[in-house]
Amino acid sequence: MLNLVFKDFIIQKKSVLFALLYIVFFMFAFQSIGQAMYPASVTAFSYILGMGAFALDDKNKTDVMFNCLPVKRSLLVTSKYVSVILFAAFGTLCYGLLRQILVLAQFPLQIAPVDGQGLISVLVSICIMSGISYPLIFKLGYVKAKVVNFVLIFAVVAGLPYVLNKLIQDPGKEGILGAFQNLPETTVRLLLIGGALVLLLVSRFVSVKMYEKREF
Amino acid sequence: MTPLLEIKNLRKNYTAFSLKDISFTLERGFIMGFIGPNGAGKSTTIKLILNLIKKDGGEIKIFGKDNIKNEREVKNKIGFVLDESYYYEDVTLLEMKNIVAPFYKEWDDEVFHRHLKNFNLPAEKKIKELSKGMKMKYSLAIALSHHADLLIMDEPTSGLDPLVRSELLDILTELIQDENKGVLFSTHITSDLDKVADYVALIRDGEIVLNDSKDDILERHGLVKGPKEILKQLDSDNVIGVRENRYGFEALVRDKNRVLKRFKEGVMTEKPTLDDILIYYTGRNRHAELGI
Repeated sequence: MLNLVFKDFIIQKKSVLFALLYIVFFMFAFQSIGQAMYPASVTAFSYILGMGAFALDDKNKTDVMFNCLPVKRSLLVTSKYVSVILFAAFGTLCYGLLRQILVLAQFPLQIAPVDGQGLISVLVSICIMSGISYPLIFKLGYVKAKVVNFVLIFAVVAGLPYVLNKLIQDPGKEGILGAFQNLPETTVRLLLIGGALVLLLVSRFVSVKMYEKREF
Repeated sequence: MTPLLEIKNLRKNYTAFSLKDISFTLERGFIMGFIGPNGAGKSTTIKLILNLIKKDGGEIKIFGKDNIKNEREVKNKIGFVLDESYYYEDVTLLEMKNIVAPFYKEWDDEVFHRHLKNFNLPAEKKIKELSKGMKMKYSLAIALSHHADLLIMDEPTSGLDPLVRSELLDILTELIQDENKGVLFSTHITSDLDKVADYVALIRDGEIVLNDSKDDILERHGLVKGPKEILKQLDSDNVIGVRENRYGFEALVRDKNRVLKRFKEGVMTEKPTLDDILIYYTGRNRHAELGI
């Protein structure tokens, strides 16, 4: 498993550097977004690298090679989910280091620190994004799934705040959101993490089913 | 001893093509040439053996074990060289080896480096910088570095120059000195098999039409040449295919002795090459299509 995860780093040496530059760009260009700077930049970093690994597999047709090796298809699938989480961990580490360097160098920038809420946001975001995109990629391949995934991710990114705003603004609605508002913060956080991880597990299960049926 | 590879009534259906209940066996210590024109079903068969595609029926046993139920176990002892490179182009040969090696229980780094040296492959070069021949040799180096018993090669020589092809055949000849190993070698370049194959399975339109030892095939069949008057007297069930010209005919027959017995004079028989066998069994001048 670990060699499959490290493989996703090795094949993207240049992309990792590019994605790091992206974090730096984020720090400079999005000064106004405050606390969202860390989760937004690291989520983008992880997603870029996660998708990049799929793109390279597709370009080099390495699925054929991996499926000739003595390895279970389920492990090939699982490794991609682990990779994206490790990309997020690596991105967090790099973000923290870059922030430290820029602070020490006394750059006139407001750079949000890595904090618990940010970490949860990163985890939830990548679980949602990968959870939605990966099953389609495992079924259709990266190129074919690209357009559908773009639409899906756009719908989630653009649609989720709209739905949440609607729920919050509706005074008559207590529902789930109301119940959430009355819960202690730790419980809400745990529920968010739990929900995201369940989504990721369900997504992984579906991806395995899709990939096991795929022909090369 | 259990055969290396046993295929029984293997079936795969596509809209425009079907693999129709094919069967053949590869014993230890031999090289089997799997020949047929493009689109005959060679790659489909190999993909089924490697479980890259799902079968619709039949049985595939590798080392006596079902290829799907014991997939990881049997794949540990299979080396494969496919028709093109399926490795990451932007990594070095060494990095790619480091990706592949941990999957094999018996990976042998010493053997791998020996092959790199023998094949003149630079370990620090990126795969995209290799020529087609070098990529094939690299695939072969990977395939031979984990003590595989069965080597499966799908059109490994297509697009390679004669020198590289000849080198590959030498390597296979050396490999087969170990009588526990075997090679399934799919190709449409039959001259590659003239030197090295022990057995030949010929596939046409998804069906195995010939499956025997190469020497028996070449000894039994005959290329008959003679005047056109004799052509009509040939036993139609013995004729595989015919080519006619202004002066006479050339036909491939299943049993040349039957022709020699019947015609003491007037015809000439020659030993066919595998190319002749492939062309007559699969070409447009097939007996069935001519309606003689």
